[in-house]
Amino acid sequence: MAREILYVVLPCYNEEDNIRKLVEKWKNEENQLRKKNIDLSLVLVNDGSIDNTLNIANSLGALYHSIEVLSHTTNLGLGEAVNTGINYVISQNNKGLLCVMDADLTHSPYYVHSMIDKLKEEGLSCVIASRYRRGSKVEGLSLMRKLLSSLARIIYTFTLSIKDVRDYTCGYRLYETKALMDLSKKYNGKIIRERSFACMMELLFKFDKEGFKIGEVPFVLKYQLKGGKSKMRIFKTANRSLMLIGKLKKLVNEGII
Amino acid sequence: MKNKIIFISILLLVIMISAVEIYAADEVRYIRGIEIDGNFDDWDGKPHIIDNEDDIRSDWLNFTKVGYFADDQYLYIYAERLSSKSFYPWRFNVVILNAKEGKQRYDYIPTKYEYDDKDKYYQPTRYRKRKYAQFQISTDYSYYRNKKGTPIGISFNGKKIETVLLDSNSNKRIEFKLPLDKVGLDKENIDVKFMIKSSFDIKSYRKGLYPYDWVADGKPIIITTGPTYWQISSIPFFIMTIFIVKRKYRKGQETENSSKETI
Repeated sequence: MAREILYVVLPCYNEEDNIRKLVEKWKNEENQLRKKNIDLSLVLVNDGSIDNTLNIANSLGALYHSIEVLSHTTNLGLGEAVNTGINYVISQNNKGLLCVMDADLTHSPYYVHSMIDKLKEEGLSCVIASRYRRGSKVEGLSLMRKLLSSLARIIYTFTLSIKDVRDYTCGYRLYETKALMDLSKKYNGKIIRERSFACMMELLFKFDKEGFKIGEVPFVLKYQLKGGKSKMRIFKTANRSLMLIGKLKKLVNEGII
Repeated sequence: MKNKIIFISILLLVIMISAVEIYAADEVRYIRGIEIDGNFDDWDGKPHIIDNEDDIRSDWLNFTKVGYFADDQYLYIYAERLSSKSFYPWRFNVVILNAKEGKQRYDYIPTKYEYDDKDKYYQPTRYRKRKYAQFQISTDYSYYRNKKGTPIGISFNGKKIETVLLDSNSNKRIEFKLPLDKVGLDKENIDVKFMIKSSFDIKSYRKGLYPYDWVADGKPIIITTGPTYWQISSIPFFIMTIFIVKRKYRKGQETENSSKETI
């Protein structure tokens, strides 16, 4: 059986408290992945951090040959960081898997195994670690944030209604690299145009538009483990998301995407 | 009287020839005045075509005005459209009708349009099918206004040739230049005959209407670096007319003289 590579893209902005711990957690999963004929490769994308993130990332890169460090000189936003990671993986020209997750320790690498199994067994192109499946749980999140998340979920479900998707915004996802290569060709090497947190919804929308199958697995979001302050500006993100839905719908209606 | 006719004829001929020279000189002056820099002021007063707005349903594909120029190296084009939304891309082809090289793609060019009162739409009723060399012009859609300028991708028969960066804040206007050596029209005093064809319009197609916007409707845009065939052919026509008038005048004189002699 041919070996595959699992690329894990970790967009980092001021994650000096978390990055080393997260890399260690991934290294703990490495043996189990090898048993599945999967090699692990971590891609740390420093998005113009103003703390010690880049230095720590570089030292980790020097320590492990399976870690690649990419860096933006200025903070360009989550969308650009994910784009940089995706483009790096595509440039490696290896058919395999790409996992994107938050680098603030709220997402555990443990769930990647169930995501890989789901993707392979059901022939999917994308699997989301969902907060809204049986067995899912959200810990440590304020009531206000929970309410806003639920509201966003309702809006997305009514406006986008992607089959088998309940969690449109979660940043913990597994993609098939071949599907990303196809999308990259279609969008001239820039799949994501949105820079804010709404970029996750944009990527999902484009996957669905292209006819790729998407599935979900349950996971537990541990917000209490989060190191440092949240970078998400709630109202700005909500505003951008609503505007983005309108624009995406318009672009589809005009036959542009 | 005879001398008067000769004098007027020579005067008209001189005026006409000098007008031809001014036309050619104007072309050269205009070309020097155009720079692809996102500043559209240099297009003021330059030759242009106003396009019909009732020939396509999607505003982002609907051309309203096209300006044009050519020197011995480039074809310069300015285009304006109905939509000004910044996130819409530009997607269209420049079809070179008299290309000497690179003829690769078949196209049906509408040669006649009729207005459909029911749909309020200009529909082509006659086409001409031929192989044409085509430049593809495109910009990416964006959710953000690009402060540095909009990169315009230019391809020739599917192969990327160059990208120019220009400022178009409203995304309503665009200017670019096309290398004429790709189509073998890059020498001096060669006419350029072209048309502009929008990308496929899904909105018009869904309504069963013709899904492309062509500029100009039903006829090509011709840029000439010297006098036109019309101007050249009008000179012998003018001389012939003068000759006929002169003969008629002489005949009239002779008839008058003979009737005087009879009296």
